[in-house]
Amino acid sequence: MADPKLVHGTLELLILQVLTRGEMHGYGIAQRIQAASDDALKVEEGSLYPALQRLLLKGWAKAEWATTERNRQARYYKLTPLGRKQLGEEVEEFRRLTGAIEKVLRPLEG
Amino acid sequence: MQELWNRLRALFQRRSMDRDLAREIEFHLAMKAEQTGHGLAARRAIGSSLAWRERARDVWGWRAADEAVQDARYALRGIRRTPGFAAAAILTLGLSIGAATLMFSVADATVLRPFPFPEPDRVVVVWGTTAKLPHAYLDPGVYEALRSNQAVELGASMNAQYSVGELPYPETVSGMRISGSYLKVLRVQAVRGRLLLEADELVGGPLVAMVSERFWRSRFNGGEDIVGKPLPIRSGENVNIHTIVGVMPDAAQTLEMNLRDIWVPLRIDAEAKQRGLSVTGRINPGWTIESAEAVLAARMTALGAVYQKESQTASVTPLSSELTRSTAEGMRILSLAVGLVMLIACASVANLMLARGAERVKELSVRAAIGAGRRRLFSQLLTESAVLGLLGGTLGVLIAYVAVGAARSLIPLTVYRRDLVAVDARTLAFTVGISLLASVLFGLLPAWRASRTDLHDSGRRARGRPGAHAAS
Repeated sequence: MADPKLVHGTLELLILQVLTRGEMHGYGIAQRIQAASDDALKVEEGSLYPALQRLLLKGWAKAEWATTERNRQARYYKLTPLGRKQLGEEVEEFRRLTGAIEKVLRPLEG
Repeated sequence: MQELWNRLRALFQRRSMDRDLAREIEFHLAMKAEQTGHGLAARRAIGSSLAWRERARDVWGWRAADEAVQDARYALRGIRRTPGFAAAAILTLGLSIGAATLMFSVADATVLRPFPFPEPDRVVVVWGTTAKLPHAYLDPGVYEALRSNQAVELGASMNAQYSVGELPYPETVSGMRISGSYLKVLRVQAVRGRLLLEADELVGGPLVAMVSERFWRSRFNGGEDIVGKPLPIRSGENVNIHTIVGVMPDAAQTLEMNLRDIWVPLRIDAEAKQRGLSVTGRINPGWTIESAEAVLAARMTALGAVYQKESQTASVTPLSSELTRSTAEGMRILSLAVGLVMLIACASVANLMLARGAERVKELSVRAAIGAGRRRLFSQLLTESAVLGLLGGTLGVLIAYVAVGAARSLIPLTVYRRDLVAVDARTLAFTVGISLLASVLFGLLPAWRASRTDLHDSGRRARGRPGAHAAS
């Protein structure tokens, strides 16, 4: 399934959430998002890496090189305390927004 | 902010960041190939990996910074290629920005800069008002009687000239006689030692004085032992030795006349009764100037019969308007004039640029041909204007710096803070601002027009023209 057009900032939200489960490299993050959404969200590299860079830019995550189980060099991302705080705020904002959209859409159903 | 700081730091780490990104994506593709078994597809994806890296890099905003630097370099080359045009533009801008800078430095020092004491809008001057004399000093008795009011904290002062030092070469110094409450009203702190207090006003007590910072520096070499030093002051035939108890901060120089160097406690004598006192006050919290004026006026009417021959009422005006009254009006007119000069200068330079725009068609069409979009061309041309503007601003600052001494000497000594007129950091900030503003004013239209000309057709037409500039 093609990468759905996520609202700007939502991808960062998902990445932050995924990182709460522990450090992970870019490939792994995309895998986790796909798995957690039951395959509904396939994050393309063209969106993933800019989003990761944005997290670095805003100081919400840090990146470090480490070795994987298969002895490869991978860049692992980790949440910063600022990022953790931001996640909370972003989730709240997201839920508020979708709640509002739901309210508008309700009369249109049946 | 965190983000800005990170961007700045990233500028210096670009190469390593690029390497990291490249390796990261390589790893990603390798993992993908492995797990999906689609080795071929992964190898094809390496082509698009370049695009992904570009998009990821863009997040840091380097492209904008790189473009700006490129454009600035290009603009400087262009200036070297057309020195005649550049000289005319820079000279025009330099003269007008110089005039504006000069005017700002005067306005800033005398009118615009905030007053150096806390809550300056609460500090007022209390005048005695009669039908004939709207602004008169107050009789010391009236002052004393007014002091116990709820609305305004009052302090008194008188100007004085002192002859300081031993014969045969005493020096005449401007000074003030002040009540201890005067310094409380201004809420200033002594730079060294202590402030004059009400206790010092008692007749028969030890003679004390405070000196100004510049007096301290010039006469006492700024020595740390200033407190306690003797200051001989002539009074008629006698020389009284006053002990220096403190150094007055420059913030207390609130009179519009020349800076004062000596402050002496105010003791009510015949002279004070004859000349009257200048009364300064600080409005207490919860009161306004109008309500305070009403309270004082009521008091004064009650006192009327006791102290004066004619009934006198009080009028209260903000100290700020007292100090800037004479200059604010003139400054306004001057700024208008200088503003017009700047507009004329911008118009001339815009004219020069429009004329030059016609000659640059070939150069611009080549740039368009190699892919510079209209937006990019526009920002390039605007950057050229900014470079010209800033060069003009630099010339302007030099001119202002040279002329400021002469300008200052034209300002009457009675103007408040006249001695502070200088080309300082605030003035420089103003110069940068106005240079950029001018750049936009004269550069916007030419840049817009030049980036919109039908570059392809004009390029073709221009090819055969002899003597056309070669694009760099």
